[in-house]
Amino acid sequence: MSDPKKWIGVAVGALLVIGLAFVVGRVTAPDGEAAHAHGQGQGGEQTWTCSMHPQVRRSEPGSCPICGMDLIPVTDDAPGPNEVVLSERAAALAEVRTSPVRRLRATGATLRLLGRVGYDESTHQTVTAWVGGRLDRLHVRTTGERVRRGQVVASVYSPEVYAAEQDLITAKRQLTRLAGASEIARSAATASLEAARQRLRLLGIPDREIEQVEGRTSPRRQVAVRSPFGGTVIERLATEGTYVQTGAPLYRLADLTRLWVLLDAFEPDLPHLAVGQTVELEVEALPGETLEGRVAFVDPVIDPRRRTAQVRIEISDPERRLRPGTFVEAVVRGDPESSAQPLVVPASAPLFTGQRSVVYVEVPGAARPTYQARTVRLGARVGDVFPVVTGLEEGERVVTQGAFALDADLQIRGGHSMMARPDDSTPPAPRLEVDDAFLAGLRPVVEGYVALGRALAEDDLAAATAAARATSEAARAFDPDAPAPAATHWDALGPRVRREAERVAAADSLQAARAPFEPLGAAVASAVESFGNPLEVPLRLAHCPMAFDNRGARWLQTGEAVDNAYFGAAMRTCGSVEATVEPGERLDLEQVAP
Amino acid sequence: MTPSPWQRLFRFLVDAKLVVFVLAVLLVVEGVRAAPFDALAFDWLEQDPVAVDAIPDVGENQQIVFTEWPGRSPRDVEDQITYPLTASLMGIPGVRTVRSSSAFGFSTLYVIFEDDVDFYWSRSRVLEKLASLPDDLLPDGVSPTLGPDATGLGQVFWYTLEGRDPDGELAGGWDLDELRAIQDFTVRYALSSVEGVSEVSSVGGFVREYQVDVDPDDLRAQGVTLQQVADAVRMSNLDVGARTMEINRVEYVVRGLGLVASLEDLEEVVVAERDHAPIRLRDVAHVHYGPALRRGGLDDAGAEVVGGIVVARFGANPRAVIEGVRAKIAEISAGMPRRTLEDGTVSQVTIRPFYDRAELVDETVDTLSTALWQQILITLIVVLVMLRSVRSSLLITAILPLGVLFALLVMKAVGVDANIMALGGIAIAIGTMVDMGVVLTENVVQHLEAADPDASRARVVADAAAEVAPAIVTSVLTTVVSFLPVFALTRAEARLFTPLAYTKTFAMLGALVLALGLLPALSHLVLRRRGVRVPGWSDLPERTRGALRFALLAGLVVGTAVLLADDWAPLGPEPGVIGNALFVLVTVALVLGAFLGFEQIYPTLLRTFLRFKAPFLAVPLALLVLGALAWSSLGREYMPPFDEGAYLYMPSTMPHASVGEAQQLVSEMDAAIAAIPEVDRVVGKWGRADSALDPAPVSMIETIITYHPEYGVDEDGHRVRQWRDHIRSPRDIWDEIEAAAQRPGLTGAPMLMPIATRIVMLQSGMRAPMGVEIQGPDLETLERFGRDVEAALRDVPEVRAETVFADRVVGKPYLHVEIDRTAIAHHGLHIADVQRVLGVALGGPPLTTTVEGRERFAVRVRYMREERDSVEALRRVMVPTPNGEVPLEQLATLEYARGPQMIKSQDTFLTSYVIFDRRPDVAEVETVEAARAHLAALVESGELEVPAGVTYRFAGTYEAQVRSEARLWRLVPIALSLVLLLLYLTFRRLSTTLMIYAGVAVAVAGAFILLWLYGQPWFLDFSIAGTSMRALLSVGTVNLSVAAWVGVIALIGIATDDGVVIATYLKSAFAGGPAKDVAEVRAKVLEAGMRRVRPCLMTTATTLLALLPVITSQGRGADVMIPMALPVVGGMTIALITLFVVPVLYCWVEELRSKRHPLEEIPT
Repeated sequence: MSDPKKWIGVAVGALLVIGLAFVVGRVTAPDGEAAHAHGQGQGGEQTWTCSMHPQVRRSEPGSCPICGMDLIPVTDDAPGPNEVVLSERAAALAEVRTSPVRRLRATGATLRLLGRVGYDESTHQTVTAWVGGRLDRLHVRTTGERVRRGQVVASVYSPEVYAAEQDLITAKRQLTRLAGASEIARSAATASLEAARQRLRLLGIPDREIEQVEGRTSPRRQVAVRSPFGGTVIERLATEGTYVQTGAPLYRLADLTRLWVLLDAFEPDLPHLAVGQTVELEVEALPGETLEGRVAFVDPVIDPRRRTAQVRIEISDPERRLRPGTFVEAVVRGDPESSAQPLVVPASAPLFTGQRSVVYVEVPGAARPTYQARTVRLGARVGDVFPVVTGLEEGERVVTQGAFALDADLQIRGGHSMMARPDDSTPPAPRLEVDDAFLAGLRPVVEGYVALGRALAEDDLAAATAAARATSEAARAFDPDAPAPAATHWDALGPRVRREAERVAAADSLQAARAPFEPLGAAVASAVESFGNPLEVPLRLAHCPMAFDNRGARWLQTGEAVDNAYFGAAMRTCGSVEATVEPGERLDLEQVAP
Repeated sequence: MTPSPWQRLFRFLVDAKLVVFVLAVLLVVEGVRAAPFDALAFDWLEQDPVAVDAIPDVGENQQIVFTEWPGRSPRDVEDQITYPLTASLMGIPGVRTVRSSSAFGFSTLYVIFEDDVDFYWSRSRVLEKLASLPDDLLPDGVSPTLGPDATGLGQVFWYTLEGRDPDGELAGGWDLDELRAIQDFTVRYALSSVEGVSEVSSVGGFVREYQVDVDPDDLRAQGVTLQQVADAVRMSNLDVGARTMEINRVEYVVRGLGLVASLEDLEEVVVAERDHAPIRLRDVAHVHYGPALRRGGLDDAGAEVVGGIVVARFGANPRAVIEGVRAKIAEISAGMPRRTLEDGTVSQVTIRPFYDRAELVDETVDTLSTALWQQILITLIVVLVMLRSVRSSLLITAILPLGVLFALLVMKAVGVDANIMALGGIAIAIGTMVDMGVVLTENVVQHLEAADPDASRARVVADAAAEVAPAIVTSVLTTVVSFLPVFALTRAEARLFTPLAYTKTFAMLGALVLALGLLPALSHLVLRRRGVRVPGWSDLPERTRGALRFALLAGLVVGTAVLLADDWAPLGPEPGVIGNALFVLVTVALVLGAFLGFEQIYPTLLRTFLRFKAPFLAVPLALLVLGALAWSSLGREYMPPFDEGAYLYMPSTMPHASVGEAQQLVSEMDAAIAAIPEVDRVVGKWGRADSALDPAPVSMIETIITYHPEYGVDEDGHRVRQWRDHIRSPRDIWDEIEAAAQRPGLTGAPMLMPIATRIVMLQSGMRAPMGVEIQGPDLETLERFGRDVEAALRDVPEVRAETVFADRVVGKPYLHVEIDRTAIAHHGLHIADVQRVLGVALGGPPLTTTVEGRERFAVRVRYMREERDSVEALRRVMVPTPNGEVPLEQLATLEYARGPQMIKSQDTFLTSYVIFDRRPDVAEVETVEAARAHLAALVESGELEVPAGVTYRFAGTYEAQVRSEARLWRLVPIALSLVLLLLYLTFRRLSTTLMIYAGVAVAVAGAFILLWLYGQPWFLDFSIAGTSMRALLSVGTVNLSVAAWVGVIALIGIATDDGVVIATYLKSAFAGGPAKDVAEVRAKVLEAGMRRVRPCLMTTATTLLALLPVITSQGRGADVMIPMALPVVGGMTIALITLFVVPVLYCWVEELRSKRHPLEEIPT
């Protein structure tokens, strides 16, 4: 009887033990995992950096070489929202390449213009008939033929010349016949010969020819018209067989070794153009060759039909390879008067996000390849580079290849990539015209806020809550009626100010008061952006990079020295003033470096 | 005595054997024809197998409406197409919800219908609605089209086109645009013609088009406008038919030929005429072949390729479709284009598949058919050993294959597809099916032995059958009823699990029909009564006969064991057939030995327990408590992961990635993954295929990775391990892939396999099994809140931080050309004038399409690349005005903006998702609950601000788990009470019924305890002959999924049967009236228990051992089957206690009752 009982006891006992083990196993299992997870987080080399100057990287603790602040350890697992830290392998995979920001002689913007080759108007010449008569023959029949100076270009039957030559020949013969005649008769004959000569001379026949004519027995039926200058016939103005007056134009000639290139410049191009600029010309007829010229003239009038102004380039083409009418593509480089040397980055570096662009900058001296996203302002593209307006310093290395991969990586990790720059996500506050009454109404709000900031900096909770209440009251009391856009804007801003101020007022600790102080500051700053500084003294926008666990935060204050509202006595002077807003002026966050 | 209806039925069946046998033969022939197993495919028998797929099509009942609006931004598409379309389609009857996405150039609407709406009916409703849209609803020239009659799950066959030499070696020599043209105009149409193919979509390579790159400088120089060029091109491509002409009684057909067929044709097009000098297209433009704008591409291990995707029609039999496709490929492959390369090799374009669902289907079916075959063999062994009768064992076992064929036949008739779930249903029914045969045959044998030698043998057999028939019918009924909750599941889980419930029911019904219909007739033929003289046999001495009988029995057992060992090889191939056979025999001997030993000590134990009821009952109570503890500690998930042998790695890059960037990322990533030795092929797709089923943006990457199976066969035919030593499971391969694929700018991806991914996408619209669905008033808010949630979820320990990813809703940079209305007014221009120039100069719409035989290519006119590929160039685009032309910068300002890459919405509400994945050791539901709690805490504390108008909820397959669990919680009690009613009708006593339930409860507790044990690292941690038992029995964490619940439900059925049998015997023991005293009660209970212990043990043994092949199976689909089998195994092991629980409780009640009626006690 006792046996079965014992067995049952053992069985029940065993089951209870199993059950206990089961429960214990369940309770302890997750702890083991947690310990394991902790173990993985350790290891690796520690790097130290300055919270104000993240580019400083040291392998041991110390103080910042720039500002002297104590360095803080870098946690590789949590790089800043602007930073991408890659392993060596990942950097190799991403094929990241960098190049330094450097100075380059400014060449200004590059313009591409289109135009055509034209004649040099100053070389235009006209060959005229020096004698009237019938045009028997035109020796140069087509346009485009080249004519030497003195070349016979036409033969003219001129009754006048004929008669004059006839007279000359007759007078000559008379003189010969009177060889033995009286002096009087001879002198009369000589005089008439001389008169005949003179007539021919006046008609324009050179003496040499007159002498030849004297030797002939009959006058010439035709006289030659010679070109007084060399050039290319660009127009034939007469036809054979017609009678022309003396001085009638026969040909128009132009010198094609000196040409004009006429470029069409649209209105936006004109500011970039000035006389004297070098221009590179490309002509389809001369593939692969670039001619050079200089801007000689910019038309002061815009052609109302073409909506362009003509830009004239004078070039000489002794080999006569250019033909008028040819299309020319011209590249105009640089502002001639500029001699500055701006910083430039390669054109492949920036990721465009509008007015600003994002450039990835290599953080020097980091344990692992680290790149920082930097918002920069760039000028207009010049060739392969962009001039940097703000945001980069000489010698910093920017990523020229692989920037997209870095950006995508940053975005995946929720950082501030090109598609999520924090300062771009809120639209800039509108700048609104307000009158003095409006500013007067706004003043107590800003004053209350500034007092609140001062109280927080002094670690005075009572004063802070009082100031917050005053701010809230002021915001409630301020009810502007005109003008409409400003009133509407304040209707949106006012409740924000009130809500945050009331949260500060309700705080029971300094820490609780400081949390809503930041959004309150943002609302007030927005008001200063839109309406201007309503105070009699300058407002200063300060920034502390260490507030809220190194996230960084801004506030407005009136004093010149940093008066840190987020830390109070602990670190009252930490931070820097980023902008100063004079009374009545508007805060421009665009100008504040991000 | 008039025979009962049962008796009459069985007498008829025994007499009319011919009818029975003919029907049986018909069943076998038709069943074999319907069987999808290769082993049953005979050449002389025309096959007509049931439709086969790997897992059931669980996609939502949906129709896709796809609308293209080339070149338009997602915002335009959303506002002008998606929103109005959604609003009008929501009104269609039966529509549950409309999901949509608007992307660059196209809009996709998923119209999701209620489950009971017919697929083709819903198609015609959608078409009807589309046809009757008001004219002004959509922009001009935009026409929505109905997507293919398929879902993403229909993507059953992916291939690439490659140039190969006659030896099948890669030869190359084909350009990507040539291959694409061959794919688009030859292969695609050929494969589309295969029965059951819904569409074949092309992906990768370059679509060739005629590109007229206009030089704007030339335009200005020649004094023509872009519009003139466009018009000229448009008017240059036309054929006309001019009817016929009769000349001398001969009829000629007149054609005016004018279609563009070459680049020269286009170059000669006259744009304008000046002084009789034509300005031809070539004077102002460069005409060439070029690639069309790409929004997707394909990459094979680092090289760009052209490929195609075959999509099977909704409801088609995927295996049949693939077989058709394979046959078609074989047919066309000889005629594919070929060319001789410079080095003399002949390169022919070859179709090379890289994802073939049929392989998976075959492997899955193979796993299950193997398991079924092994189950039958092992059952035969068990029955042989337990009954020690060759004849009855063969009879009983014959039921199994016939029952399986019956189930297949019914599946075919009813239209239930064969898949892992359906065949799994048959697998877990095997144990119960055997029981019916055992019960019937045993009874017949007993009756024959006890029968009067003069009685008609047929009559005895029929009466014996009639005696147990009601009990058998009741047990089948209870099993079927207990499965009712599974039938009542809804939506996806219904599609997933009802096939299983159906097939299990079919198999049970089959077994019932066969046991009742065929077995009596067969027994009459086969079984003999004792003492009948058989000439020759009966003359032998008794000892010789005994020895011969034993030899025959032993031979059969060993033979079956060898057969089984050869097929099963539980210890792996190394020990050889003999070793494996020994293992099988030893296992069976151990289990059966233990059972026989149990049978021996059962009376003693029962007697003891009857005396010490309360201490004994503490044991089942403790088990119940343990079971409840185990239950609460189990992880919960929807569906155990199904190893498909292929991964779908779906990282994405950021939406602002360009085509080139995406393509480069994919090719680098593929090359890195291809370097992993376990990986067979890697084909990555970025962007989308040309199909309405694939609306992926450029930044989305899908990589199909197939890996070598763990074991392969070398040249000598030996099985060798193909994985490196440290790779133990597919999960390890996944880790390798993840490590290799990682690179800056690419997200991680949840572990997914192709089919599972499609299912997830179809169910939730996400591309991960878990996620947060956020709805909000505008895109910016969605984006901001999504990022907040992303950051918050990264801190949840159960979540793998690298997989958390919020949709970058406004992640695409836009370049806005803002036209200054004042400026254009100065020049006398309309907005449309400027837009037209922009559209043509930059966008380059197709103006006309060439017709070159079968091939069609678009002709596009646009600015030269240099004139449109930079912001500076954009500013200089010339806009013609009534007086000359002006550059664009004088008329418009260029602004950057952030905008959406894709706008998703649900029922017109803007939606975005934050997806995440769990850590491998945490179950789905736990992860989601932890994440939910974390978010709620953050919202509570104010750290996470939910903007006005934003709602969020957790979505994904986990929803199905929660929904089905809730439903099961409601339905299982209903089913149990139905079973209760059935039992009550049988026993007419509530107490008995409750006792049976007590046994069932203990069994269920056992199921949970075994599931818990499987998750413990120390459980079964030992080896036999070098084979780890943990590996052999697939020990590993099993979460409480719907699959496990199905196993539990199956267990309830079996355990109920067991209890019913004992209770029946107990009831009959007390049939003579209540016992007089406690001693008599105990004696009666003991007697009943002893009579029943053997059949019960046999049931348990067959069920347990029959499931062994399932549990040890390693093939495809095993991971879904095992969670279903485990509860049954655990429950049946514990069910040995039920053998005591029910009698002890019964005894208790009877004792109470005997004490309550002391009067009847007195006469002794």
